[in-house]
Amino acid sequence: MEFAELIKTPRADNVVLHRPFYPAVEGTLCLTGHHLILSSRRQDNAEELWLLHSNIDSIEKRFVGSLGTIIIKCKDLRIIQLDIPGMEECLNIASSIEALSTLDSVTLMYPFFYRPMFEVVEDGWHSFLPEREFELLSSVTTEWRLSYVNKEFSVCPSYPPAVTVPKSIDDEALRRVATFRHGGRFPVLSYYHKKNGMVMMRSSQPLTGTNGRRCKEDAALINATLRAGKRGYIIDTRSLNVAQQARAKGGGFEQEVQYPQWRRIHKSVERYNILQESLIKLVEACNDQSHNMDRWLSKLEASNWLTHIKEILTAACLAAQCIDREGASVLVHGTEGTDSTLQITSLAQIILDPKCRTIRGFEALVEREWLQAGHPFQQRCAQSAYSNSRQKWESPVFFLFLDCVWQILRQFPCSFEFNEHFLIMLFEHAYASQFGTFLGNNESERCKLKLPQKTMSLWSWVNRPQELSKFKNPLFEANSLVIWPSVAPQSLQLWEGVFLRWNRSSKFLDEAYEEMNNIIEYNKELQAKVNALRRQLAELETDDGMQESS
Amino acid sequence: MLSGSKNSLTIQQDAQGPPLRGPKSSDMNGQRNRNCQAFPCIPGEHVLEEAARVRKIVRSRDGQGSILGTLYCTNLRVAFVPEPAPGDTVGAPRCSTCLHSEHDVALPCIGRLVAVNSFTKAKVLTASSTLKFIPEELVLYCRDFRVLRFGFRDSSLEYQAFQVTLAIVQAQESSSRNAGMWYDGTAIRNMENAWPSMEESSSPPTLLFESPCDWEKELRRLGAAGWRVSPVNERFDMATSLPKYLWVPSRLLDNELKRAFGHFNARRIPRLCWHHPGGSDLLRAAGFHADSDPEREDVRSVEALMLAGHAQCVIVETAADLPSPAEIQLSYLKLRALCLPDSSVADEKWLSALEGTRWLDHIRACVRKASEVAALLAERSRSIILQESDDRDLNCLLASLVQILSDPHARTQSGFQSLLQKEWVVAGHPFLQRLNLLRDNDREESPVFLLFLDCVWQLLQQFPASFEFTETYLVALHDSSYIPFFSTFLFNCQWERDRRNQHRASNQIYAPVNGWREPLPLEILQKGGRLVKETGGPYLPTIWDWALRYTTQQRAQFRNPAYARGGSSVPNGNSAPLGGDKLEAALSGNGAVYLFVKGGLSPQTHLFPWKNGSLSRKGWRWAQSLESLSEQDRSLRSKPSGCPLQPEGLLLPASVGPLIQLWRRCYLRGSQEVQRGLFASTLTELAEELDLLRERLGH
Repeated sequence: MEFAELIKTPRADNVVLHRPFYPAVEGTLCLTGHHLILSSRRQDNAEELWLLHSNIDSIEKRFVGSLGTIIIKCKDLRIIQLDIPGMEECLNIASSIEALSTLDSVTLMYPFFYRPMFEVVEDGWHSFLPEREFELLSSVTTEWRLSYVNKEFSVCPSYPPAVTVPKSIDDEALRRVATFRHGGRFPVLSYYHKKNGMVMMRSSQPLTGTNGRRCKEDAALINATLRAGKRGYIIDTRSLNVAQQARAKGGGFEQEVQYPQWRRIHKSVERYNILQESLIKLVEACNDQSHNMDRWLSKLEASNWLTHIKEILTAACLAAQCIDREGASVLVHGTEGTDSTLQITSLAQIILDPKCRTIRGFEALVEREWLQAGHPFQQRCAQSAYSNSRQKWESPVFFLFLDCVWQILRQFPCSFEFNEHFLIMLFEHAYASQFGTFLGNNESERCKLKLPQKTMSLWSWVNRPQELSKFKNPLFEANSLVIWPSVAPQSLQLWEGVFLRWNRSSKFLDEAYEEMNNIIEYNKELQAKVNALRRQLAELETDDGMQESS
Repeated sequence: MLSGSKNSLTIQQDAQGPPLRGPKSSDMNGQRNRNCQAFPCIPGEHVLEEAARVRKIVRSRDGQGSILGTLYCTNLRVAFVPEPAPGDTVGAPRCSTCLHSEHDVALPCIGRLVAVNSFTKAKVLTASSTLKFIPEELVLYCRDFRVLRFGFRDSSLEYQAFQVTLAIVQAQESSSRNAGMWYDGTAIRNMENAWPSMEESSSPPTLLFESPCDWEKELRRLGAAGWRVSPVNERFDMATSLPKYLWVPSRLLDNELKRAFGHFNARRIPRLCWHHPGGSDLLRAAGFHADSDPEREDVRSVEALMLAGHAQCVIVETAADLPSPAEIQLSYLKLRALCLPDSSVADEKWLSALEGTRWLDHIRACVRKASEVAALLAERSRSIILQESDDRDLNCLLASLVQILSDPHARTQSGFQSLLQKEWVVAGHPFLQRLNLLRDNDREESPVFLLFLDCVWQLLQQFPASFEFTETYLVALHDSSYIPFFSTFLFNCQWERDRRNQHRASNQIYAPVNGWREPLPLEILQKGGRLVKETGGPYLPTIWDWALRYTTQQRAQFRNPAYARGGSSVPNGNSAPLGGDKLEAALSGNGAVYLFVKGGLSPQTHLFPWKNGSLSRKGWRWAQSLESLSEQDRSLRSKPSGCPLQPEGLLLPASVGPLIQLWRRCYLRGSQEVQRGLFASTLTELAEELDLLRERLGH
């Protein structure tokens, strides 16, 4: 196998592992094709480290005499240090790790080699098929149809084979609209608001260019979602200025003349490497353990991370407001329609739709609005906060979405079926995973890689009862209402569970969480007992009544 | 709160028409009687003005909700009594406490009054300003960060709105003019008659440290064998600001002790705060008096006090690295301005504005210093003296924080309250000046105590299962510090507190026998108001009588259900007592003195550091034979804070930037919305119903 060539020194003895809040461990370091393993000589084998190479964001090496030190910074933001005796061993190991953590070929990634040790009850690759989602939709409305116009990924390479479009628009029209939208991403249904029948659609920018190109099928498509005499809203995730500049490159936005029934609102949301820079700054501030941290809040502010959260949440609230309060349909797009657009459409659904706040519903949302909608996970999540490459396509778009969900979860601690750990788990797997779910940039790539056949789906693992129990929020009580998050700076907080996860000891917090779980369990038990006794009493009373009357 | 959720907002429907209110009666008595029926006055309190069918506006994320009720302005407070919900049984008590915590605000606690009308600009009201329009809304900005808003939108309310607003403005103004009435006037003198009898409490009583038995009891709990309770200051003739009883080394006789007083500012000598089960002792003292002469022979008792039988003595200069009371005040004012809902700070600048208040910096400094001292205490047997120039502000804060970190008992509710009594109330923290409850002097105002509460909240965040009480309890304590109905925060020291009691007691029929009034132990009060009345003396309650202001349900939220009792047995007094030989060594003057600076220990040659160099070598010189200096010079800061290998019972909090946070629930109450749990019934209610059902099934 080709990995063997990369591994010059497969094992080293007397390696010392340093991690914050744990005593140093001495043991044997082994490198395999996908893992870095440290096992101590201790009998209980408790101090073992299994680290996926793909989780490694960057490594640094230092030497003091012949003692080498490798500092490994991971995509999940953890930092560990390995002291390796012997300069040659250390250099070999460092270069092997570097090579193994930056493999070019997707097919060499761990998911293609991973064999699950658990029994698959439900194959996650088939859990959230568009057909099933559409079935649910057809039970409430007949105005939509499932189109297979993109069956061969020929109309839009980043769309799935099946998309939901207005019934009145035929496939031929869709093909024409696709040529008028960036990357072929014609407007498709994102969300149907059962309460008032309003919808949210998403697309990419229209290719109007400088000479104001138009496409009557495009107007017809989105107008088909409007009720007679009603206006809709187009939420453009770029500022007006940026949208106007896009015309020079062939892009553009919907002009009022051509879309008289639509009101356009520009809500600027940052994208690309500005977000990556923000993440890098934030993590740097969080990791600054020096004691004159008096400037912590300024650093936090200067990272702009919370500002991005606020922008995204504000735009999502706006979309939700248009639908729920104004009773209007909404079309969301930016430039490509694969990043900020998805942040907004998915967050608006969390605000509006209680189903998205359940575990199953949230998984379906991630599948529908991120994976099938063509968010380029492989590009965006190639590197995390410690990356040195700074490529334009690396951007924590999905990470920001998860943080936004966490903000809402924190503000509505009882309205979500899942807990913070569920979101952290998704963050980890988006960046490095043994599962194939987040590999590839869109359905077309996943199809070519034959991921469903060759890899295991994350959902197959998560949806097992043993795993699910870890992700359940004990405080959950289904709340069927729309939840409006606050976006005031006082209400937005640093997601400590992710950013300070490795900088603090979680022992005390875990204890308290455990205790809370116990109390809630006890409460449920009592409640069940009370209910049973009530029933029993009622039965006895009716018996008595019957005896008396007879 | 997102109102959308099915939670706590009760938006009441207009069930009946507005109650008729006749023209203002000239017969004040008649009116007062009528009012007294409707409004539970404290004796001595009378309603000045009232307005029915006022809406208390409650913020919610879904817009605004409101509660319908009657707004009262009395000579003591502004109170709002909600109308009973239609479903409520008629005649049920409106609230089980006569001082309602949620809807009431004592007049001196009102920071700013603003009248709002849709046609004119919002107007800040003062007694000298004239109200030229009918207010549609009255906004009370309270000093405890609450913002109370009352709406008079019903057109029929115009006259009442005008009247009640004026009354509030005037009452507030006159309350600050006649500050004394809060404890001298009729209002409080007969107050005990009004207190509802209290249900027994299962928790151990709070030690008030007013009687020697409390001091004895606590000393026994600590197992501090080398120490005794000295009544040397029983008549406050040694030091007026010190408590009556002091913990001093057993070997030191009162006669010797008396010689030490003159060497310290305000005669506040070193005395024991806490004894570590491992042997260390925590002491606190004022700075050395400028005229104290180290050449004098009686400085030996000072030495004996400070070494306290240990071979090593560490002097911690409390004020170093910690903010001064003036800085705390400045920072607090900035924080309050920032946290008000109408703060003008731009959203993007909120975090740097928060940093600019330096409030979090101050907290960080306190938490860090306390954990350093706690680590020193646990490290080896020594005496540690917290020395602050006047020993009445940051010494209170630091001494109590160190104990909270070191002693699990201080993390129970009764232990915490006892701690506050010992280190703040009887130790002479000038609450009256610092909290400025009566608004008589703004210059000395500084919320040192509130800074302390915030520090405790930070610990609660980091160690959520280590405290018996909750955030709700701390908020209640925070709010209580703005209520001038209690003895706890109304005086600058125990002497004043006692003197006031004595003075007032002499006006009573049953004069105290001993010349000074024996304070009523809490147990007596707990048996009900009647017994208190029989014993005669007026009793100004302490804030620990939570039942006076909080309902049973509210108090249930004081208890932390996640509290793990496991660690609470650690310092239980079973530790080995101090060896006699150590004491011997101390008394003979062989001890090493270190100064704790910047997280490290530096050796001192002189007991009086400020006299260094100015004295001949004959002066007090400390032997350093016991420790090698290099060992002592290492920095404590290199230790990882919050390491998991903590000795049992000792909490070492992290104090790095990201882990010190804003106490949102306290400071952002004016704007923060919180979703409460939706559980309908509490555990106790369920358990009760369970019993009831079982019983009924049994028949």
